[in-house]
Amino acid sequence: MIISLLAALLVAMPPSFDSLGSEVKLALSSNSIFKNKVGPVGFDQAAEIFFVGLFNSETKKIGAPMFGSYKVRIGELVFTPSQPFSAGNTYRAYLTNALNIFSEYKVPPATIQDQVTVIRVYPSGNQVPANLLKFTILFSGPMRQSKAIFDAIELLGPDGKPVDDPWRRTELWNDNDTRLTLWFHPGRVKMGVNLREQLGPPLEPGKAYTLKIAKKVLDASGKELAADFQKKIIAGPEVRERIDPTKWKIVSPSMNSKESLNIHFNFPIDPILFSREVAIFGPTGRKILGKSIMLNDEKSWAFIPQEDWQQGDYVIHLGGEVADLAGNTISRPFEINLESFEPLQKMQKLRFTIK
Amino acid sequence: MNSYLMKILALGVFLCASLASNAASFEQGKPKLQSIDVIAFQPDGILMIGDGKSGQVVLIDTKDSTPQKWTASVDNLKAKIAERLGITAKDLELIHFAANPISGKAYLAVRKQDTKTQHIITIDGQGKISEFSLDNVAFKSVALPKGSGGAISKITDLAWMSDRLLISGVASDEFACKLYSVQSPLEKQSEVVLTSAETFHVAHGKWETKAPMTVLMPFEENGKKYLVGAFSCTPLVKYPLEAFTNDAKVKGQSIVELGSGNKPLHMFTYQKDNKSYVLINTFRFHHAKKPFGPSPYWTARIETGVLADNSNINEKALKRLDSKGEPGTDKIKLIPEFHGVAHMDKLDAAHALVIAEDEKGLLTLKALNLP
Repeated sequence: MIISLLAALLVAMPPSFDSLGSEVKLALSSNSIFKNKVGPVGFDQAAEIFFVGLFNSETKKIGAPMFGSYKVRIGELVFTPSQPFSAGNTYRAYLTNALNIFSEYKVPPATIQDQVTVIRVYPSGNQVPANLLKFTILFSGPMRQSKAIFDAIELLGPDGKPVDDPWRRTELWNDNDTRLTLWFHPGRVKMGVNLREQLGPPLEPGKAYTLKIAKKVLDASGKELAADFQKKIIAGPEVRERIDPTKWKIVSPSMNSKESLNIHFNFPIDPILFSREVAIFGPTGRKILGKSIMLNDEKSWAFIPQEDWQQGDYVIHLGGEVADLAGNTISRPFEINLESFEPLQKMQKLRFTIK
Repeated sequence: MNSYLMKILALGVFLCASLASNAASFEQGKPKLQSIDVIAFQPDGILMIGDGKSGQVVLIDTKDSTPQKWTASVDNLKAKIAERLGITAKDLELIHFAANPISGKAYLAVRKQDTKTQHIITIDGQGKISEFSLDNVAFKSVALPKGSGGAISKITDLAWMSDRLLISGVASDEFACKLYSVQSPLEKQSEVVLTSAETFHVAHGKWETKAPMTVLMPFEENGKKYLVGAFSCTPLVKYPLEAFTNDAKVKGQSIVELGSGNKPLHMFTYQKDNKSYVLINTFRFHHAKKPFGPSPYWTARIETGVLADNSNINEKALKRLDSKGEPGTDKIKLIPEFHGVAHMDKLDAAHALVIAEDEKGLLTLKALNLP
């Protein structure tokens, strides 16, 4: 009788989580189908003995068996979840045939990080062409990728009401999810496209708008931003011409110095594309290394060399994708007018001399 | 021998031949993936994963080749998948979807938001949800060249066309349309043709631009091969594959205008009653202003003959709606049975496998008769 009571108690023992929450195990009974097995066992068969599920403390709902693998190890049936248990959640391991027998594992909440903020939006300036093509939004920490972001970022018109459907709903993040490239819907910007024909452009020259990034945008951990972010812009005339670098002004540095080379543009330039597409070559043909920075609301660029400038002729290579705020590049205007087609340029070179 | 046995036999011969030709270059292990942007299948059940961040397509032999019948309808889909991953539905993002043409099983690419990890989930015809682990699979990868300008950051779609793989990609920082054509056999060092495409603006006859393609499919007519692409909000455009050469700028012909305010999501061709159709589902971001049905997701059926018409192109492209916004042609039909379909793929000759969204935003996976 004592033996059968002990056996009953053993059978009634719930599976147990290990202290790290990396696996869950259950002592196998003497009549278990797995008693004489060692190594991996089938999920479906093992889940008939015990399973691990997400437990909703509010609704008391038991989640379906989590993905993972089972194995038999020295008289124990061991479950390893395919994914780590998530911070802040509660999990329970149940005997499948006796759901009142379970053990519970509460995962501590994630360490509270500072709330993420919007630290910068390009273009930096308030004056933009009415055919502005995109915003580049920099966050102070990694963000959550989700299509919901397109509904959480608004463009408010002069009357304070949201402009209808201004965005191209394609998420474009950098590798660590701290930079979002937010394109205007091209159908609203391009000439002769039905969306623009019916709704008009998102920005009209002479009018003021506000880019509003709502607090409800979530960071990687699922927390909201620290605060709403707003940036005012004023739309100017549309720009629909190819960039002409010969209209830029180059201010040469002094010889034997580390003074900055400065280029002043006639329009603000896309800083990310410019930094990718520019290279400086010295009198011997060697690429000049150094640091660069955009200034004056992306209307100027300064380059500081690692080594002193030497006397001689220098060449600035500009790739064809250097673009202004309306997507016009060195190689072509954003839109090609077939009635006045111009040959395309792939690259341009600017020269300066240090005496 | 009855027709069912004939089908099984034919399928077996096809699988043996195609898997044998593919198997030689597959390696066993865990593919290095940085992102799962889109998924699609080759006709022999090889899963193709578009990984824009790594600039590659990864091919996986799923070994999932047992045909099955769809009897299930899986409602509250996100919650059901999420809890299997140990999270709630709000922490799960559905990224993309495809149906294995051999087994008929649904494959879903999802993102677990708390860990920023991406996973492939399968659901069989009886509604059983499983995880397709990528830890130890037979795989190979095809690297996509960067080409001029910036590297792609996202693959927007990919599709298999008899002898080649077609891929569209977008870059984060520049407005470009990069199209890749990779000739079979697909290998790590396969020759990849990278081109860019120009799109004609239908409403005015004088403008054209680059335009990132959002969805594509192969199309053949009279022995000529084309890529048919759709954009964020522009017509369906047909590009001749013979014009695809490295660094070429391929000009397409606009052939169908579905109307503004819609983003195409998936499309495929099928045959019914000896007629050929394209089925295309879209997200209508003008739904609140002018709905086409109870859901922002709506689906159209287009007679394939429209795609083959080479005379009514560009400014003469066939428009679904007339100048008053009313249906202007019987060659393009809105399909009410597909209202709410956010994802879809061809399941078999008579069915589509779809993920439909209801008025509460809940998703259901089910098979629908092809219209």
